[in-house]
Amino acid sequence: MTMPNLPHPDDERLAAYAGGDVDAIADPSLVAHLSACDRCRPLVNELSLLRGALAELPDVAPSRPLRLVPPVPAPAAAPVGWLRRLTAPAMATGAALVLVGAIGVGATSGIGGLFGQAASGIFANVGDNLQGAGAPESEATPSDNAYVPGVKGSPAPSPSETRGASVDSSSPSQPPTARFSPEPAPGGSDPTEYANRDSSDEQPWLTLLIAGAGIFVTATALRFTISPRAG
Amino acid sequence: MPPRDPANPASRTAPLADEEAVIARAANGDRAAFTQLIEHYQSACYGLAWRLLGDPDQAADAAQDAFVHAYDAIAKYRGGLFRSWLLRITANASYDILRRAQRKPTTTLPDAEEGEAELPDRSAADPEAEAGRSELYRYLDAALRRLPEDQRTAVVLCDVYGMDYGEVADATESALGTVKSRIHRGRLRLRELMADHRELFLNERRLDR
Repeated sequence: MTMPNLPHPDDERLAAYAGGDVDAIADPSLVAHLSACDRCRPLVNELSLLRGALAELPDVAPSRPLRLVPPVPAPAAAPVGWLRRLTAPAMATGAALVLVGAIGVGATSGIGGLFGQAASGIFANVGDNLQGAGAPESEATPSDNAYVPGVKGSPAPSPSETRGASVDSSSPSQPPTARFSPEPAPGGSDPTEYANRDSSDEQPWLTLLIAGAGIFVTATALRFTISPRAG
Repeated sequence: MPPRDPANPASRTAPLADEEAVIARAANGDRAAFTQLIEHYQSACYGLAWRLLGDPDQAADAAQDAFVHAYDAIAKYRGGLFRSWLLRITANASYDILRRAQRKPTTTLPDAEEGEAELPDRSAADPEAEAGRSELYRYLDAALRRLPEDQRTAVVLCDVYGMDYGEVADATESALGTVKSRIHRGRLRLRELMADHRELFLNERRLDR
């Protein structure tokens, strides 16, 4: 029996009813309409049957063999990750050593002296003063620079400052001769010895500075070469 | 969260006899047990992914993504139907792939050709009824592929795989109201698309009753 005078519910509402939507099946006006409407009841019935058929659609065999075993994490990951985690503290340690070394060098030679020596070092004979094997030029310059050509025995202002620093420190000021190397360099170049004497004060600090820079550079390089994925 | 209990029809993979024990072993890191579960349910996962994505290669990718996610998450599995749990993961993996491909303007899938060949063979007690049913499934899958993508996704998850509105909303990252509307409109559109095969469909259903 059709109900021509009664407006049909929205079709989406009927689809909701067919799917068992709680709102729809508990709606008395919708239920009443369906019990009487020959247009809507078959539609709901058909939608219900359609839904039942959808729920039976079978599983589908894969078109190609699937990888079923989960991938094993790479065994190298753990140690590399462990190494990578060490780089941050190593970088910090290196930076701290550089700082301490720089302060030490500054204190022993005097910052002004450093620059003064750098200026005079341009004229210095670098070749005869490579006492620190493998030391970068920049670190070699302060000792280099102590040598002022033609002024034997009275080196540039910096040595005097260095001596002043030596006096301040607990170690007794020693006469310059005490620090002369036993074997004078060929040609008996005194200035080299002066330079050696100066550098002997700065040597531990320089070593510290160089070692710190080495650690920092190595740790930084490691950090950026090891893949973060490995951790 | 107690899962819904969608009646698992005979056409779908039934649970393993000792499923709880296998799940427990897998959750404790037994890779062989996990592989056993995945092997058992791979057709269920692949079927869902294929119905959502339409492309066999993408479906295989989605299923394998889902297996990896499931492996990572199985220690946190808290009972319920394992099949439903795995299908939810597969739905999410499929939807991720679908969303990545959404730049393309395609809203309907190309007509199915693979689907016909991919339906698994089942021994038929009643060959005639079985043939009719296979035909119905083929038409249904073809009709699903012609639905607009948002409606297809919602109908497949809700009506084919028995997810509730909330689960569909989660999987498709959509509002509940939007999901309901998509499902209802999708059912109506599907009915229209199946109009030419209505008799087969209705007869099939009567045969079952």
